[in-house]
Amino acid sequence: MELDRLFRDRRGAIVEEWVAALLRIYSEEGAKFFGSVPNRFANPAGYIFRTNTERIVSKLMDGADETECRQDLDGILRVRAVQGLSPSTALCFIPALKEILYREACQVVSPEQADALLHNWYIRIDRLLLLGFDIYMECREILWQQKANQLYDRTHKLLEKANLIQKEDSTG
Amino acid sequence: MKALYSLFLVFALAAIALVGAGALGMERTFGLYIPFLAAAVFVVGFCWRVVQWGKSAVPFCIPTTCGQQESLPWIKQSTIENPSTTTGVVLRMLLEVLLFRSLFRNNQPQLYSDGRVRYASSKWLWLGALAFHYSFLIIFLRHMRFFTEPVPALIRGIESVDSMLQIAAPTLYLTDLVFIAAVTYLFLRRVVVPNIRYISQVQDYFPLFLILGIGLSGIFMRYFAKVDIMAVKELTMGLVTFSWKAPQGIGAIFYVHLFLVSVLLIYFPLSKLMHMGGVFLSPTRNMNCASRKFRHINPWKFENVHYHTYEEYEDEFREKMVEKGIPVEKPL
Amino acid sequence: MSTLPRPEELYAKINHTPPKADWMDVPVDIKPGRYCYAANPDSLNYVGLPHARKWNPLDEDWKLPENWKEIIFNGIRERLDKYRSFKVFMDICVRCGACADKCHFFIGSGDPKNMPVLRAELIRSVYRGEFTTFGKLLGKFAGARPLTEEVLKEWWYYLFQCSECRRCSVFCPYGIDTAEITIMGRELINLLGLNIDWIATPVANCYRTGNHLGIQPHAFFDMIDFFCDDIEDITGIRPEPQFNKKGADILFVTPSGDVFADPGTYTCMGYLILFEYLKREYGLDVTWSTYASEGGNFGFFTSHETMKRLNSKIYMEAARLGVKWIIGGECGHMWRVLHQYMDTLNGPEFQSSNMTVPKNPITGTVFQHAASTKMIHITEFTADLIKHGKLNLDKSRNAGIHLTWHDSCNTSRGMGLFEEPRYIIRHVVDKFTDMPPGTIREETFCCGGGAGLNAGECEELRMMGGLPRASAVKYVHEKYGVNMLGCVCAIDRAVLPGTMKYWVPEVTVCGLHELVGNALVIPGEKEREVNLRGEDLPGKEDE
Repeated sequence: MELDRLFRDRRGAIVEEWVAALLRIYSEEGAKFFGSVPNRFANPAGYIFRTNTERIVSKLMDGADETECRQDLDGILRVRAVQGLSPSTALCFIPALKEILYREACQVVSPEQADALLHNWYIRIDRLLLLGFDIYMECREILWQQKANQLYDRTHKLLEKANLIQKEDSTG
Repeated sequence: MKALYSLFLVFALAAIALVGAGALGMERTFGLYIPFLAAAVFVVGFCWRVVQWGKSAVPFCIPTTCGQQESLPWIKQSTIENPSTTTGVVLRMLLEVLLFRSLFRNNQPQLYSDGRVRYASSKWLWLGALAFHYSFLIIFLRHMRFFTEPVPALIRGIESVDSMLQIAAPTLYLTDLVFIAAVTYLFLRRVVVPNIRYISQVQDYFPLFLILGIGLSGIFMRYFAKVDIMAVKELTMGLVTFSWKAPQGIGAIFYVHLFLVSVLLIYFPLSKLMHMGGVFLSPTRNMNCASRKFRHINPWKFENVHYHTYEEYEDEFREKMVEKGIPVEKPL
Repeated sequence: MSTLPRPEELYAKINHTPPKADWMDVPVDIKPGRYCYAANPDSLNYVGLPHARKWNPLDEDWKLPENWKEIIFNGIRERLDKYRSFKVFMDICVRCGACADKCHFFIGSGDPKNMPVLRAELIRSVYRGEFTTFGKLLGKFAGARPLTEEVLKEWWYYLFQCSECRRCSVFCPYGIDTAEITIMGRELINLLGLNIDWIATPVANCYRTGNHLGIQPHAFFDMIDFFCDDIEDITGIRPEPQFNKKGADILFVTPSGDVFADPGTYTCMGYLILFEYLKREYGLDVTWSTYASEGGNFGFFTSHETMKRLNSKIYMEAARLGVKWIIGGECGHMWRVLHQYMDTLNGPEFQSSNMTVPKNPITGTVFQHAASTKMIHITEFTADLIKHGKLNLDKSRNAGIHLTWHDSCNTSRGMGLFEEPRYIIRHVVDKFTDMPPGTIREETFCCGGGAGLNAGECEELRMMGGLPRASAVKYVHEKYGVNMLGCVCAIDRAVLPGTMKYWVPEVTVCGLHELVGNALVIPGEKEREVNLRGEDLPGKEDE
């Protein structure tokens, strides 16, 4: 399809815009840092943001199923889930992709046509968003679990020992 | 905004000199009194600050260790990055002061698309800082020809090396170019890099502009206005020999240059520029790292410290200890 | 339809970009997940720290003493005289920004006030306003600001977002050490009773019982006994550790985390096996102490004085028991204190003159580098034994492990312990891959939980701070199949399992002597089926 070819040609620009949307929630200094030359070790969050965004865009353009983007989306959201953001803020970059694609489409077709042609894309992005909610919640749950377990872990051996004594009493 | 304030301030200072020494004809004030006062403030202020630092105690041995410690004889120690001898400490300080060792460390591992990790170092700051400080030093030394008669061979040597390109007349000094480029770089990174802009203050822009102003007025004087060098030397020699002669007919631009230098000298001991002295006193760099080998003595005492002694401890837990067969001092 | 906002506009309404403003004008926003709960007043009272009270960081009113500003200013004045580091670091920063992107908390959170330079400027700005002529005259123009309650809250919030790892200090051209500034800052806010509970309560516990959980001597004894049971099950040999034994040659002190929390407990079992082996083979006489049962020093996160009080027990106990020298277990900040502070703090008062320069009776090695402190790190001890061929090690028991090594901050940048652990590693595991340069040795990344930030309530902070470390681990995991992260610090062992579970769930965490314990063949032991964790050994899965 014509639109798909357009998107493929404009892949770089679309990724750029999407990364910008992803970074818009941070303070300028933070955003510039995350957005600077991605360096896996010195700037892991920025690295994940950029490479994973690129991969998601590529996969979607190649017609892959949204679930195939799970790992990449997971990387991004895993970082966002610990940054003290509300769920809507953490995930808001996903629907932003709709608008980015819409703007791109409007360069070659009329706005009405664009909406119609992008219908499938919108559905896929919605699915991606729902997938994002799942991932985000999973991450949060690990965090809550760890918080809940922390005291237990610290005293685990003591508890185990206490149980052991109990067991011996009941069997003996 | 902060940069603009600073720029404005430097312009204002230049204007003061122009008006004062030029229009108002206060050549003695701007040529003799102010520079003399500034030099005095600099020397006294610098010493006073260093003495103040020196008066603070160094209670603990807290060097930052940046390499393998001295431990077992067959493990290769990093004798400079984690020195355990005075020689090591001196070398570490020399590397730090002369070559900015720590800034040089500012490298970042980069992962390339072929999956290999390499150093893509961000050495620009190191390079910029080194270029700035060394060109400043050379320019400073070159200026000594104004304060010595006859001019020592060393200074003449520096000059001839510095002007070896033999471009333009008077010949262009390499350091002038490097100096202006380095200051410009140091300024630009403050306004361009958001993180650095965020942390920058008026106090960071002001000295940069001031130094840039000094550099530019000096260059203007040498290559364009071509002030009367002999008259300048008469004045500077007067300063160092305390003979207080203010020759007439040196262009106002010279007084701008001299006034900005005076401001820098006065500003120096009041500001962050004191890092020049402070770097020698930094306990994380100038101490011997072998803190388990040599005892460092704290010159002051903690007062009225309460300890939880073994006796108190045993008194509280004696029964429980005896129960488990842990030896005690006083039996039950 | 057309009146509905389009997605990006919708998104613009929840735009969280902070207003563009000077950092001094951005008020502090204390976020849940990034701060730790206030100290329990009972804990502060127990150790006699000032202004103990119940307060909540989220409240408007922190119930500060009336003359709090005076207390802070007097505190600063006193410390400027007592600590040249503080005075020089207040004065000479040129804000070059070399440190800006070196802090793991900044790298993870993007919060500009987590840049080391700005963390220090929080205090410097007040210092300039009150203690420098320029700042007094020119105010904000000179980078100065007055001390207000708002500023104090900001101090508190960001001083407890620094793990005192010293990474920034490695890159600073003047060696400005944010840890040092954080230490001073924490001392100052401690004068107002503004501590966090995860530090204050362990301090009180360590003071009273000798360990951070407040476990009493009989329970401490039981825990070790319990490990001996496990070791007996696994090896058929029961270690018989000695406690508070007068006249022993060597006192052994380890962080109490090793005794109470997994996976440190396995490391503790490793120590027990090692000492049992050495006792049986060479008659090494080591004693544990229930009184000095905590090497880790939470006082270090409170004030120099508290550090001294907690640390004094080690020399006092060494003198009481009459030991010749001391071995310290695997711990990070404990070793910063032991290496750089202990001898100065307590050596003159409490070090017994009967102690001698540590000499390994088995190999004859004299640990000259510890001649004055008379305490050596257990990896120095074990490396020496291995070098002299005194240990019978069977690497194959660790064959399932592909290890990478986390250099702990304090042993790296406050000591320089790099090759000793790696030497041991090469003798106890086959597969070992270091993480990329720039993330290890003196440039190692913090686990994110150092300096008392291991509280449950600041989990998010720790995960953000742990991202740079995890990122390097993930790399070696994906590229080389690394499945185990070794470390030599009790806080690492407490923090990194959670960090790994979140970022790289395929990698687990262990201490070095756990691996030694697994590999060491005790004479007369039965054939082991499981490792110290009770997991099947490689090749024994089917039986």
